[in-house]
Amino acid sequence: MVEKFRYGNYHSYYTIRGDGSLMDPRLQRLPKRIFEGATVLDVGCNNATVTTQVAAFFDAKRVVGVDIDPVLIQKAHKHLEFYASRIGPRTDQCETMLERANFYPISAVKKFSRRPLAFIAENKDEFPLNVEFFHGNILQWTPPSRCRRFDTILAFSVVKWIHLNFGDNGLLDFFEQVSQLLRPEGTFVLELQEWKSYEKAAKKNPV
Amino acid sequence: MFVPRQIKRKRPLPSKEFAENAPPAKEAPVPDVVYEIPIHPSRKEPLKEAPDVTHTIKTATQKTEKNDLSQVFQDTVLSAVELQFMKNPDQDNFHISTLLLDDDEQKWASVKPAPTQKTLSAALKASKSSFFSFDENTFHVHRNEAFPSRPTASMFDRIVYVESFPATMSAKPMHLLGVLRPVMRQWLPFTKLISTPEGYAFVECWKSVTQEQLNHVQAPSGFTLLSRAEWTLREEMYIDCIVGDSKRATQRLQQSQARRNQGALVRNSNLSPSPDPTKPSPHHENPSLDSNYPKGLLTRLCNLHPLTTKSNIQAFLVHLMKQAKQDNVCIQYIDYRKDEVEAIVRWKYADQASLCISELKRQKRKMSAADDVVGIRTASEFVDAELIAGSEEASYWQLIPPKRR
Repeated sequence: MVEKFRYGNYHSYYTIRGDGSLMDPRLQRLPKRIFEGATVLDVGCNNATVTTQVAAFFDAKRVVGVDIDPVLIQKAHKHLEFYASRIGPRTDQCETMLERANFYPISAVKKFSRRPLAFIAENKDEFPLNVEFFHGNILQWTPPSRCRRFDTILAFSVVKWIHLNFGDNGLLDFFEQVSQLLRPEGTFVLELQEWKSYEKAAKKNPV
Repeated sequence: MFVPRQIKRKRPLPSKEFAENAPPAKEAPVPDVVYEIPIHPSRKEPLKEAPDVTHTIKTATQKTEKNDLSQVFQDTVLSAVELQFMKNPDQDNFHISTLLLDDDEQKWASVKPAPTQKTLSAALKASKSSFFSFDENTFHVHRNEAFPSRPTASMFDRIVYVESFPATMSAKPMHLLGVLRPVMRQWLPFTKLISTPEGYAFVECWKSVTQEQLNHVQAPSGFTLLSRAEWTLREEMYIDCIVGDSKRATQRLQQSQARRNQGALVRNSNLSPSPDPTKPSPHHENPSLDSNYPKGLLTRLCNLHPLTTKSNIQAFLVHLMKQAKQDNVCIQYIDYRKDEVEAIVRWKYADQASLCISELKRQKRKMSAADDVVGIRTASEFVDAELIAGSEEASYWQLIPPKRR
């Protein structure tokens, strides 16, 4: 059971984390300019909670989520459909995506099924068609030819797991990989994790 | 797993000099336990003065209980008492242990501290309600005259749709009510709660609730509160989106089929004379309706329990058919989504589909619970079935690939 989550790929990570706000608190602290019209890579996207928010709220051109767990990538697809299905219509009172989010009740989507993404938007640069997911280890991942480099790379709550599983060299490889994937003058957002959390994770997954 | 050296370093042991100078450990306080001591008839004087008879053993820690209980727990207990009175409108009082006697394991899930007689009584002592009073000696809760007997407003107007954060709280009724109580005081007392494990729940209040009123309420972070009217409106809007999507899907399907048929006509033009352009081809007339599908195999079941499952529906139908002496029940597929009260059953044999319809009319069974596979026979809201035919049947089979028909 513990071995299953050795990469921090908890399946209910975003179910209990957060303060209930529409936008992840970490995204609220970042400048919008790093996302607007940009191609964004979310490393360790989990179930795409943050990936979806970046694509929906910040007018990103394209957002790619990568995760080492194939189950989480499946969940990411479902989450994107679920989230996009709940976006309400554009009105005078609700113009931005933030105002239109969570309009349709969860009960409606669960009862009448999620809407196909192709019918929610027409333009491929528009949410939710501007989101893609890939399964793989970021250290060995090769991006598709249509999107080799990114303007912004996010690494939220990831670096600890790379460090614990692949050591110092793994961490250096990760930074090397990021430098390959990042456009010149691009932005790399790295969330550091405290040593206390290292100890906790190491105890859960002993050597 | 690799462990960085920073956390491998062992913590230093406390030095001996500090240990010697350390103050002596405080002795644990002896609890002030009071028992009732019976007096033997042969004794003229009792060994100790008999204290007042109590129904509990008092300990020194009880004094601090009032401060240890969170406001959420107190609100939870108040809500539980209200629901208990609502459940039994003829009951004027009950012992607080009644609140703990419930088959529903999730009822008090994630409520902290754990609900016991001690914590419940402490919560009731700490918080006051105008609807009931708590007798600390007998541990009974008494309904006050101010407690209304029956609500006057329509039930639909008193229902609030709630989406919780985290979503798992929607399956924990008492915890949910404890969190909601502070923001819904103007509509108290709560009369009912319908919880689901899907991230939403329905709370029935005493007074009618409008969306305008809810918009002025500071809901807990991550929560969504909708009046029933607003919830219904948004669900209907969503259904319109779904219908619009399926119309667009049908149009696209028709267009792609038309393109394919035009290509086939062009390929075959050398073999057969070109069609009369004044007469529309049968493919172009209705390209979406393929007549190559089995007929009479689909039945729609109505009035199912909203929380039932496909396997329960299957078991229900098997039981139904067994009553009609039909042992070999062949169900190919059950189209059902959770929270719905209807399902489409795809039978292997048309006679079994017809038998199902006639038997449901004859036997009159009602699904009283999600896992009710027998169906209690009552006169109202019994499960009904009808044969799906015509264009609806054709469009259903259109969605299924030919290989799976």
